[in-house]
Amino acid sequence: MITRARPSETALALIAVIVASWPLTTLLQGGGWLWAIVLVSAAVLGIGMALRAVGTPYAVVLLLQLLGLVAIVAVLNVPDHFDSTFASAVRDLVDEASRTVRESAAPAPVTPGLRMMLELIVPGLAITVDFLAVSSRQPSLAGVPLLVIYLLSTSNTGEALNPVYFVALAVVWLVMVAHGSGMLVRGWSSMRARSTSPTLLDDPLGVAGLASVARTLGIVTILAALIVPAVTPLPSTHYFAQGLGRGSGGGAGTVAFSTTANLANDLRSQNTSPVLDFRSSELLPPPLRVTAGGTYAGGEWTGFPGAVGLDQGTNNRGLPVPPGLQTSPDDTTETMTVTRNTMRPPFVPVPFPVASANFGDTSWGYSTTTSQPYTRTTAQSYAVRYRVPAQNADNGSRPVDPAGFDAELKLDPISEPRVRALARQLGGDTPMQQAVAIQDYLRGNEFTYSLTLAPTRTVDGRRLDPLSNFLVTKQGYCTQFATAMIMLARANGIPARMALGFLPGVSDGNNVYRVLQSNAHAWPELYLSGLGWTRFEPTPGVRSGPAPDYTGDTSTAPGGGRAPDASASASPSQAPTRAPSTAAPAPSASQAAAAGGGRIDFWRYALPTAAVLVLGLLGALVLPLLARRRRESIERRFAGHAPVEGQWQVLQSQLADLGIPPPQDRSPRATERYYRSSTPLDEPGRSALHRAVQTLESERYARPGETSRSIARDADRLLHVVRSNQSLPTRIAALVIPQTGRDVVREAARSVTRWPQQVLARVSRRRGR
Amino acid sequence: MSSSIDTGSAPASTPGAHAPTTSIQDVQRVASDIHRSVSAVIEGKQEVIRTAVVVLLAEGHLLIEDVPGVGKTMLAKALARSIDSPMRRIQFTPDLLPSDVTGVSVFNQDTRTFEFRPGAIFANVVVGDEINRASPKTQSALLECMEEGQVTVDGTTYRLHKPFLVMATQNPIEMEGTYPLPEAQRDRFMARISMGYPPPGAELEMLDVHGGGSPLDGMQPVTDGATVARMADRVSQVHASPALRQYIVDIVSATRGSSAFRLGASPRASLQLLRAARAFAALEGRDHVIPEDVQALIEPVLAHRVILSSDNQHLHRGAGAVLGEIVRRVPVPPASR
Repeated sequence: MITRARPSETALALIAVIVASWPLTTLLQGGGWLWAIVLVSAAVLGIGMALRAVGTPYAVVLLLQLLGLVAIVAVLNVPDHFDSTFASAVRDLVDEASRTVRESAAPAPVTPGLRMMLELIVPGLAITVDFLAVSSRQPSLAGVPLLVIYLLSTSNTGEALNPVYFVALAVVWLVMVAHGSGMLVRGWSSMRARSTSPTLLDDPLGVAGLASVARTLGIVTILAALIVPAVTPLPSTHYFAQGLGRGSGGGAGTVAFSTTANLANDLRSQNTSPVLDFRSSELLPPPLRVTAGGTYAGGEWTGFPGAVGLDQGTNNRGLPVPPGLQTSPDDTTETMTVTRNTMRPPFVPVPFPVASANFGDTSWGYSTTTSQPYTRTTAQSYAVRYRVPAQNADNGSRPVDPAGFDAELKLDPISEPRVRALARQLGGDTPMQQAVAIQDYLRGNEFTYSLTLAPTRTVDGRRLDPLSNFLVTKQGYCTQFATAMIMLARANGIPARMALGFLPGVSDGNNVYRVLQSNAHAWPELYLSGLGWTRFEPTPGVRSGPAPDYTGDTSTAPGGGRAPDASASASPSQAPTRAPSTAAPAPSASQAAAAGGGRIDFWRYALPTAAVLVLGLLGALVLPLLARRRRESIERRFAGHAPVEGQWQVLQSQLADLGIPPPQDRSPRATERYYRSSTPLDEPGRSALHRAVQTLESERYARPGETSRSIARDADRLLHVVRSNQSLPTRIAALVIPQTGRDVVREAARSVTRWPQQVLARVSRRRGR
Repeated sequence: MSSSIDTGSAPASTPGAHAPTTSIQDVQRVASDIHRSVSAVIEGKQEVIRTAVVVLLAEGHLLIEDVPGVGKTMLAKALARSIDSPMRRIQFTPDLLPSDVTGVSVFNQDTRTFEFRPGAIFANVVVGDEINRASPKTQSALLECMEEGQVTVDGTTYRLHKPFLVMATQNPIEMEGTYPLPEAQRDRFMARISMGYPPPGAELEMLDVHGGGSPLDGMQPVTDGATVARMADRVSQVHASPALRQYIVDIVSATRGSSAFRLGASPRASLQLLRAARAFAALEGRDHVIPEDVQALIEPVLAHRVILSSDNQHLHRGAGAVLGEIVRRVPVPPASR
């Protein structure tokens, strides 16, 4: 009874699932969910063990495990909704999960919805592993679902996965295979009577035939995984999602926006899909902001506000003045008209701060904290008026009251000492001077703009965190520059936050600008007295355009000279006139990708892709399984009275799979002649065929009871010879899309299509009567 | 001929008693001896001789349709000599009476009783030459004997010899003044063959070897009638599996369903086909019949029983070709499920 439950294999399957899920920790925050999926997996595998112990058929075990999984997950996640609200509660959780995976990059926060999905998917795959490895005793096949979990992780992290994850999974899989083989070998030495084909007993669906293929595939995969990356140059990262769902042509699809920014990643996205076209009244339009805020932890910005806590927006009605900004009569407003916007809602790129907006029919709202509008649906075209505050000597001259700016003053504890020391060194008297000093330092000669990060340095035996590494190696792109400025400002007591959006892009010469995905940008906003949230531009050179005008008057600030390049020193004038700068709109030159916004949400596509993969793999099993079942039913049909006849028909179907169609019903000898003429056979093959035919003939026609022989061995030998003669594609086709399986499907289809005819015939016959 | 009167007690006529002692290998050996012995006389006619031996062992009768002079009688004589059995030849003529065939009761003055004078039919091998020249009455007398294996004259039944083989010949060319056997009568013959002219080489050799005298003179018997009768018993016990019997039925029914035939083969044809196939299998040393045995016998056993439809197309092809096509078309049933 205990043996029937197969506890050791079940335990191995559980361990394998856990190990395969391990890399998910790189995708998700926290660790509580890991325990949840381990426990749920253990529970469903336990159900399987218990059912096997009482001799339940394996298909029923599988079904009950799935039902059990659904019940457990329901109890865990929607315990209060076992009534009419059940469906809507589940739908809410699924929506939440999809929102989470859509809007966050790895590591994503584990929301209740995502947790429910995890508890469904991973234990679901555990059930598959259990069925294949334990019930069907084909551990080599179980590598496929395990690989699915693993692929989910590898395909969704932007960086290379630590090889230890793969090695661990490979080791567990090999242990499973070895354990399975060991069980088989131990069985040989026992005195227990057993059928000559034990696989048939343990393998009701007949997956055994595929096991050797799966084993070979697995070993090849492991070798390829080790060798191929070592010998090929690293290509740019292409996510699953990039090939599948994203609108690449301009205008057709929408452009998603990842509201995260990771300092540790190289930027390789060179996506030149257009985001929007706009026309501006300014000669040098400001960047278009999408969101601002966020929290920095562990080298990554997350938690940017979405469309929450909005005030209803009304077209063309004046919006509240952003906090901290003192309006003056000298303030001007400029307008920007957007056409062909493809940004996915709720995000909508606008300059900051918006004075009023017209989104046409699209319903929209306005966040007073970030001074950012959000739309419910994509506004194809819209117009905004935005403020250009007049310059004021008082601006940024006084420190602001830190109350209420806890988040915007928080320093990353790991890099804090280094940041504080540097901030002290850069100096500056007023907050404005300090800010300009920081900006000048970062735009200075020492720093290099690069989409590729320098290798992580090790100081005192410890690897530097991403921010410290940037401050040491002085190489990075907008995300690093903006983060450094934010942290340095915070160290000086200036509230600072991260803004994400787009550079104005390229003008076509008629004052129409086209913003591409590669124009995505990140910059800091500092809260200064009299100005409120103020944009700075620490990212040097051609990429980011000039520093904002209001920051230009403090060039004498200590620490790091002004950048000599033209764009950085543009418009030193403090005057409110926005004279055409000597610097052309800088981003035009570069095709390289821009800021941390380049990450597109691939999560949204990963799950469907994984589902398609699993279904495809299972689908590939369908025809072989059907063929197998057909053969078993043939053998069963003839088992009692004509076993050789059954074996012979099975042999014919296997030869048909190998591309030799069976002859019409001929006499055994005629069939022998047919096979000899349709495939080249060597001497052993010919004699095996001859013996099989002789045996068949004597069973069919000789006096019954004279012989009870089997042609199994001759059939195997003949199949071996024929198989080795056939081409590789034929052999693969024989395994994957066997003729026998196709015949079963065709017959089923035919009987389905005939059924209405038969019913009609019956009806008409009755009527005729 | 008086020795032939005790016809009821043909040797080895008790089936079963000797059966166990006669193995299929014995049958095969004896049959091939006969075959070899006859082939020494009839050159280059292996198939014909084989069919004749099959018919002998299957206790059937043979219809030979051919022009004169190709060795029909020679075949019969050689066969009779080989099995060391009496052979009688009846030249059928329009004035031949049934009693000439069956025999007649004659009043014996000495014993003052009627005494049976057996006719020509009382022999192991009977050759009926040009059977289509006799009147239908005489023909049917012969055919009744063939079917019944006995003769009834004046209320007394006389059993015929065993083995009993009638080899009737027909000349298909000269039809003037003949009474061709109707279909129903032809059905009584197990097989019909035609000798055909010998191959040129064989004919030349025949002149060389047999130019001096009758080749039959030198022939030595290879077995005797009793053995042949035992062998026939053994042959009737050759196994025919259900699948094979199904095959025979399928083929015979196919002739009835075919549009090429105006008349298909009769159930008697099925029976005779099976018996012939058993003998054929035994000749191969097999104790069971396989489809190949049946296929080899389709044409000799069925061709004379079917009537081609008057459609020109079919008439041109001939019964043999149509039957061959039926053999190709009818599936060989696998073992029953």
